[in-house]
Amino acid sequence: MSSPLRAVLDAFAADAHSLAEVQQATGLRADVVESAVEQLVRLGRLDREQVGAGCTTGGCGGCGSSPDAGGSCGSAHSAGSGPVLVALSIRRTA
Amino acid sequence: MTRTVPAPSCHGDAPAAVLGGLPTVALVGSPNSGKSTLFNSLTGRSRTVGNWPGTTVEVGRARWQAGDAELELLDLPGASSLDGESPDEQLTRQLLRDVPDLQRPDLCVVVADAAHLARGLYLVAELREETGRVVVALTMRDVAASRGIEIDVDALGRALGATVVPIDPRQRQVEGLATACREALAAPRPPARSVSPLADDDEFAAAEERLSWVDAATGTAVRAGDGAVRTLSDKVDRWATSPVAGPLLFLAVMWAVFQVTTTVAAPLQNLLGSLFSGPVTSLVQGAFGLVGLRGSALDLFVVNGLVAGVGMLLTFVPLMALVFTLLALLEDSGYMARGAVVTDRLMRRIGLPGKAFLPLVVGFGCNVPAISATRIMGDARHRLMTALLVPFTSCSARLTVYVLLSATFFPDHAGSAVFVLYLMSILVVVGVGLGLRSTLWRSVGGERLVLDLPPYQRPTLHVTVAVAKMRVVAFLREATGLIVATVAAVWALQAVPVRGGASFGHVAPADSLFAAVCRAVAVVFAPLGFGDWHTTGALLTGFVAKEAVISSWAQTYAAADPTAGLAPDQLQSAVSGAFHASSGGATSAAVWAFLVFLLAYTPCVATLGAQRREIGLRWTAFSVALSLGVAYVLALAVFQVGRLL
Ligand SMILES: Nc1nc2c(ncn2[C@@H]2O[C@H](COP(=O)(O)OP(=O)(O)O)[C@@H](O)[C@H]2O)c(=O)[nH]1
Repeated sequence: MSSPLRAVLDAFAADAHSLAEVQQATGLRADVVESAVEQLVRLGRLDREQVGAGCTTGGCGGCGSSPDAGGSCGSAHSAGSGPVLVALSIRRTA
Repeated sequence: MTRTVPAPSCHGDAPAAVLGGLPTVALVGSPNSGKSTLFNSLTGRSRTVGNWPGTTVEVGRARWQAGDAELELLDLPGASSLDGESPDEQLTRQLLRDVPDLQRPDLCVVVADAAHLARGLYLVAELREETGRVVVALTMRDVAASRGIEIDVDALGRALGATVVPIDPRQRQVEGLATACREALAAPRPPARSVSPLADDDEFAAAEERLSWVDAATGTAVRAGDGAVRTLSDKVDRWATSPVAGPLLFLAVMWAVFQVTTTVAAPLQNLLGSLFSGPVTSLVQGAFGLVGLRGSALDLFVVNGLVAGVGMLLTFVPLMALVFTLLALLEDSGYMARGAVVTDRLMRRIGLPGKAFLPLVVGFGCNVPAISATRIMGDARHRLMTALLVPFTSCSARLTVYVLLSATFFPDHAGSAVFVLYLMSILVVVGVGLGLRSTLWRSVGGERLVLDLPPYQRPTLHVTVAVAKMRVVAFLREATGLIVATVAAVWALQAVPVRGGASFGHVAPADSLFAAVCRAVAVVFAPLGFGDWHTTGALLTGFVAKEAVISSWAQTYAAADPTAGLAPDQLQSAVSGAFHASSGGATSAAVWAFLVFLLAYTPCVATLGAQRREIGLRWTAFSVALSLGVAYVLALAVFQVGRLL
């Protein structure tokens, strides 16, 4: 059986659309999936983008001050604490 | 990744364990695990918080009277791994792993959030790779319980090789922790857990091993809510994001938004309209009469240009406010994120890059930030392709024209008509996307996205109002800035006579330079059913911004009847007459053709500016040609097919 970290990465490459579906596909607990994602982002295997619903300029990507839409965007200047959608994707190695 | 840190010295940056001579206990844990709350409840007011020497990272420090033992407590910054690269994580690593054994804290208390257990235990896995005492303080059990997560604390402790103490730092239920810490400190340091040797720099393998260890350790000790105790959010998402019900629900919600908007806002709009065409116009005319300028060029400009044109646009403010509020409510409740899953599914099915949906969704609000948002896409070809698709997303400025025409021609189904236009916008994006992919970018593959959905929440009034207000303000700024300038330009062109015998400012609108230019262009639109010069004029000014379509119409018709301003119903009948005449009777077909053209052609100069910045002049020109081409072909098809029906 593959390790949880590998299983989560594989589910990303397969057909999952949401973390709930990753969880279903891997049979892992939600917190394990969450931890796996956190480590995969740290390791540079996954990209993480916030789609700041509260950003009235229209999402964090539209924010000139944050070319890579990293961590601070979405919290720093959104109009409050609207729910934040996070998009994760496998990082392409050039 | 490098792990170089300055070698610890015995002077200067004194490591933890040599401070004060007391046994040192370090609190570590991921952000938001409840660590600071715990630190405060353990130490009361006696703490000091300051930057760790040589860093800007804050570390709290205090004496802790743990029963009969006096301890030195360190509140290290939040970290979810010892390998992290943030300054906080680097300091944590430095103090816990990079210094020699003897200088490390005597005991690490890992504060772990029971609702996100594996995250917290990852740190335990790392710490247990070397000898060292570890106690786990389990917080947020109430949250975990509400999600149906049950944790067998003793079994977990055995599996981890560390005592696990359930606490609630908010209630000061922390006695067990003092005992556990005293016992751990009295015992010899436990040996490291056994880890099969890995290649030194294989961080992936290391993370893999740790998470597997955590998964195994929690496997028997944790019972997660299995189906029975799903959160309401999960239950709703089961079908809000499902492949069939999800899109249907999303469409139903959008339809409801437009239905509510058009029915509720219509009376308000009429009220504002009669305000501008009645009292405001008389007031302005009266004022000009007082200073003896009644009938002057300035009077005509203000009354027929500004009051009629910009005033007409301002009647849309209640409508826009309502749309923006409803959309902000949907966003703030978390539903819009589910819409993203639905969109993403569509993108993936047709093989478009998944990340493209982010800018495209933004585009339905305004195309300008959407073009900038293409920057998040790593692949240059994806970026270019998305920047070419964004103009086809129907921004909120186009909504004003949709509403005006729908209310005029389909008064009983205005909401549905607007909804159909939004559907068409999606179809055009998909169609053009597929077209580009099968011609210019054959090799563009679908890029997979996985969305981490925020839980649903009750929308908060202040967030909703703040978001809606900001967008209304942006609409007003446009109406009072760019549109005023456009109105002035159109007015000036309308004041220039092309026939002899008239002087500047005193010319029938139909004999003006503006009309002459529009009439020349209108020929092109004749096969589309709207080859009328007023209509063409509106489309031409629409290049500047879509709001200008409204102001330009109001302005050209108002100038024809200089005795009065224009109420919305007057404008509607004027527009209606024009469509009837230019379409040879097939009015509905011509109106749909016009709406489709308006939907698809170049949105505004600001979008062009953004495109120029992102994809360069040549591709921007290509985009204009593409938009005009698509708009023309679609509108032609709609009119020619529609008039046969
Ligand atoms: N429901 C619940 N909330 C807690 C618990 N412990 C801490 N909190 C709350 O969680 C939030 C984050 O805690 P904080 O100490 O700031 O986390 P830190 O980032 O780890 O320092 C605060 O609002 C605390 O009041 C707990 O056991 N249950």
